[in-house]
Order: sequence, then structure tokens, then C-alpha cells
Amino acid sequence: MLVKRMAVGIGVLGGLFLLSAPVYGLGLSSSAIEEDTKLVKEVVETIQTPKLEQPKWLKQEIAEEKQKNTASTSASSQASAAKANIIVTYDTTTKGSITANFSEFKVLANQTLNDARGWSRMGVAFKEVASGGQFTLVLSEASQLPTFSSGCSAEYSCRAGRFVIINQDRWQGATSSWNNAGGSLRDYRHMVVNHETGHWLGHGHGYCGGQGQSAPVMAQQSITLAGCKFNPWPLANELSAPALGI
Amino acid sequence: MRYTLKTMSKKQVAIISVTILAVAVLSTYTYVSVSAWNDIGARVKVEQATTARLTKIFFADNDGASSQSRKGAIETLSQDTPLECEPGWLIGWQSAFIGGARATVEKCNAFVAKQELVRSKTKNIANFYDDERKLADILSSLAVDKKKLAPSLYKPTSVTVSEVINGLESAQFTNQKFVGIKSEALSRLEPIETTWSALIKAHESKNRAKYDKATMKLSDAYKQVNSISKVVSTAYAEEVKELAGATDNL
Repeated sequence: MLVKRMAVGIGVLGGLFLLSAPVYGLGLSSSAIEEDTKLVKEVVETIQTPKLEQPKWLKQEIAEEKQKNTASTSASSQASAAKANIIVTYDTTTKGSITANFSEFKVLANQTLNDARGWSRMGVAFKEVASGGQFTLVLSEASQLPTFSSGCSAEYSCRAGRFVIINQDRWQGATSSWNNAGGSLRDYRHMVVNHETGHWLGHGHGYCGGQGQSAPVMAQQSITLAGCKFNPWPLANELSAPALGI
Repeated sequence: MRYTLKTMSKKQVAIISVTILAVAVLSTYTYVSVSAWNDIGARVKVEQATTARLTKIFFADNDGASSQSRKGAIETLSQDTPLECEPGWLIGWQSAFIGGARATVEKCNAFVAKQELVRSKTKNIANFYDDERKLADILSSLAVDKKKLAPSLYKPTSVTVSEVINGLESAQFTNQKFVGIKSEALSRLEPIETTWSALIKAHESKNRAKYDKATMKLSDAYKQVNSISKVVSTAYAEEVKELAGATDNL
């Protein structure tokens, strides 16, 4: 009985001690730390990459290129279509705030898809249609990528169902591992269009076959080349398209 | 026989007067001494309670205390004047002979030492707030307009970046943690300055490949600026941790 009373007493005293214990040494929560240092944070948030207006000379250069490309694209699409056994249609769209040149994107994507070094080697021609294509090629603001699927990150490009989504940040700046390896932006653009379309065609990820070999286009070259040489085009052993029954 | 002033000799009157005076002086001195020692003890208690209350305000963020009230508490704590533990030589000598007085002085000195540590840590945090404001002021010139930047503004923008770097290099910060913060900020701003120079050169020479590459790098360089606020938060968390350590066993 006495022991029981003592135990209750100790419990009550312990509770009172805890209630009256000073808050010394507890530190601050991370939200309080953030709040106290928000001054610099708020200023830093205003320091964004400036949106650059294209210089006149560049606009002119792009316009001339576009004119040339439109002629050659339509010729190459027609040539591919003429040789192709299968025609795959796709439509194009954008998501979020787009600062990249969308017309240039469409032209380059079509050229890539119908390039004689690309998937067209399987006898497939890719034809852009205004709507209702078999897949939709999307140029998306980086932050919008996760809205397509929880498997898509704002960091990279992605394929989600019928959507072949190209991350605008990667389209405009490739990735640091690609740039550090000396890859050109144009090749990166070929690679990313071929890679994501490759997923739509039914491919999973590929892996570097060995030091110094060309990387499979389905390897995650945006992240690492794993000792391979960068390669924007499908290798011969990648020329299949389970989604098309090839 | 009754003693009256008339019947007392002058000598007796003098002895009695001196005795009364001595008793009065001694009583007054004793009263003043006791009051002085009690006052020191009371002031220690008041200071302890004030320091405890203010540190509680600072650390009570989970109770919804705002940043403003935390900063106010730090300002008051850092400006606190230290307690005097000796009441002056006329009374202070007693602490060498009287146990109670000695205990009061020792207790007071022990508290003052702890309070001094808390004050130095709060002073660091108060300086941190000032330095943070200074850094924010310097960086604020880099705020980017959401409108598209015309090529005619490339150079002025580049000049602003260089001015911010120069301003940061020459800025004097008081808090020691800002040595690291300053160097981190400079390491993040210098690539922006370099890239702007490359971009301007590419634009002037109408070199598309170099222009594209520079715009790409510019985007990467600006993204790195984010890390400055992370470094500031981490340094602040360290200061807070040091203060928390100093307030232990206060």
C-alpha cells in the first residue's frame, strides 16, 4: 500500500516537473528557423534567370533556318512515309509556361523522328497531325512534369501513357552530365526525343554495353553515360517496337 | 537616586551621547548592510526570471511565437547590463567574514557568469540579424524583372552583377558565421558574372553556338543562387543551438 502511494506521489511530482520544466535547450523548429531567415530567402527568390529577348540577328537566323527546315522536313516526312510500312501519327502541345521556341521544337522533333539514323529505320514514318495522334508529344515546363504521373520528376523528361513529354529545362540546357561529357545541345535534343518516343514504342531502359561503346538510346544518358559514348540514335539491336508489333 | 541631566556630570552626558550615537550609527549600518545584501539576492532573482522569460519567448516557437517576438527577446537579452555582485567597499568587506554575505556574492557571480555567456550568444544572434539584413540589401539589386530582357539591357545587367559582387566583397559583417556565408554567396555570384560576359561577347560576335551555350549556363548559374539562403538558415540554426546550450542550467 505504502509502495503504491509512493509510486503515485513520484508520478505526480514527475508530471509537475515536466510541466514546469523550462524550455531551455529545446532549440527552434525548422519552420521557425526559416521564418527568422526569410529576409535573405525572399530576396534570393527574386533572383531568377532573366528571360532573354532574342537578339534580332538570332531571330533572323532562326527564321531562315525554319524556312529551310520546313521545306526539308516536309520532304523528309514525305520520303519516309513513301518508304514506310507503318505510319505513326502524333500531335503536339505544350504544358505550363514555355519560353523555348515551340516551332523550332516541333521541326526538330519531326526531323529526329524521321531521321534515317532513327526509329524510321524500322520502316516507320512519324506524321504530325493537328489532333488525335497516336501519341502526344509535349513540350512541358519542368515543374509541370509531375502532373503527368507520379513517376515523372521535374528534373528529367518522361513518358506517361500516350504522352511523350520533353522537359523544357532539358530541351534548353541538356543535363550537366551530358554537357560535362562535351555533348552538343542538338544531339541531346535528338537523344531525348528518341529516348522518350522509344518508351512509347514499348522499350524499357537500356544499359551501357561496355567502356567506350556507343550508349543505347534507351540508356539513361541524361543521368550518366556509364563509360559509354553518348549516342542520340537507336542502336541496331534496339530496332524493335513492341507497341507497334514490330 | 534618580539621574537627571542636571545631576549628571558633563562627562557622563558625553559618554551617554556618544553611546547613543554609536548605537544609532551601528543600527543604521547594519540595516543598510542587510538591505544591500538582500537587494543583491533579489536582483539575481529578478534577472534570472527576466532571462528565463525572454529565453522562453525565444524558444517557444511551437506556441506560435512570431519571428518578431523572438527578435525582440534577443534584442533585449543582448543589451542587458551585467549585475553588480559587490555592494561597494563600505559593505563589501563583510563577504570576507560573514558566511551569508559570501554565499550571496558567490551565487550572484555564478549567475553573472552564466548570464554573460547567454548575452554573448544573444549578441551573436543580434549581429546575425543585422548581417542578414545587410546581405539581403546587397543581393536585392539582383532581383530580376519578369519581363523579357532586351539585348540592350544585357550590359547594364552584367554591370549590376559586378557591382553586387564588389559590394559583397567589401561588406563588413560582424557575425563570424558570415565569413562562410559571404564566401558561399560570392562563389554563387561569380559564375553569373562570368556567364554574362560570355553571353555579351557571343551576342556581339553573333555567335549562335556560344550564345546558346551561355544562355544555358546562365540558367544553371542563377539556379545556384538558391543555396545562399540555405547556408544562411544552417548558420542561423547553429547560432540558435549555441544559445540553447548556453541557457542550459541557467
